[in-house]
Amino acid sequence: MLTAAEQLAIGQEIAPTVKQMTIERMSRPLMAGGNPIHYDAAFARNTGLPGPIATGVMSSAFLSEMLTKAFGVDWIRSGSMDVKFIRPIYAGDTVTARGRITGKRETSTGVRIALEIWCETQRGEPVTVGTASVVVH
Amino acid sequence: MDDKQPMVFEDLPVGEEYVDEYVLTPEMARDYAEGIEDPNPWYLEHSPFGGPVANPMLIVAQHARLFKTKYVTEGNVHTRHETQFLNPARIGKVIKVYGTLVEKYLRRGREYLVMECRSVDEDGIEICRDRRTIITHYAKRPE
Repeated sequence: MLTAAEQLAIGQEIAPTVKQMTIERMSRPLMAGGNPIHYDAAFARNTGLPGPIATGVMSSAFLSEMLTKAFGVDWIRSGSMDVKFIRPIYAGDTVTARGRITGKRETSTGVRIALEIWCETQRGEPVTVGTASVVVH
Repeated sequence: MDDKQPMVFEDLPVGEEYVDEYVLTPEMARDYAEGIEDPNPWYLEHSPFGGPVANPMLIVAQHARLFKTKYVTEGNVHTRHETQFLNPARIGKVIKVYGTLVEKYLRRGREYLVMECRSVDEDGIEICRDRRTIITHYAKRPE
């Protein structure tokens, strides 16, 4: 549900998005881009990984979905994100995208909201971490 | 005949430019929505922008194609992206993608490449800008 800027407070968490990662979705051409590290178990093992890993931007997409639900068209028109993929995500993982408001500032075009954003797995480990901002009108 | 060469870190010139182009089809929008399980009707039917638009991360994901316009690549791993969304990408438009290799470096035995990219639609509307970092291979270089 979209939230008006005046209802947003520093420290507030926005509604999370939860996803189940599967090898079927990881290996789709639009996700994997033909890169066997995302779907070929033997290739992944040869690189030192225990198995195929999801492309990092899948976790960014989960974060973007969460932010679209929170901020609507403002996210599409003025959103920005800076994220690092710090641990692999494997098939079978449950990935939860989360965000917390860290700043709120009036600008000439609206209220700029700053957030800490991250994805974590069922193991409780962060796998994707970063920041986002959006101008809310 | 494909005359692309394998991507060799030492041979990649910083400043090299890449260009790609594709049609943003309804099938792409549907396949991406299914792939990340995001059934938002904006991407498939109607949006507040007057028609279906792409999931913004679908556009960012296509930036990964840029190295493949010149090189055979296999096994690279995305480590970071800094992305600005500027406008919705309307389904049916031709999207042009521009990239420049702006930095390369070695760190802890891995080869890092940094590319700055932008996607622009056929009407000249800029959709997003992206600075993306990859490692060429997950496995470390031999000592």
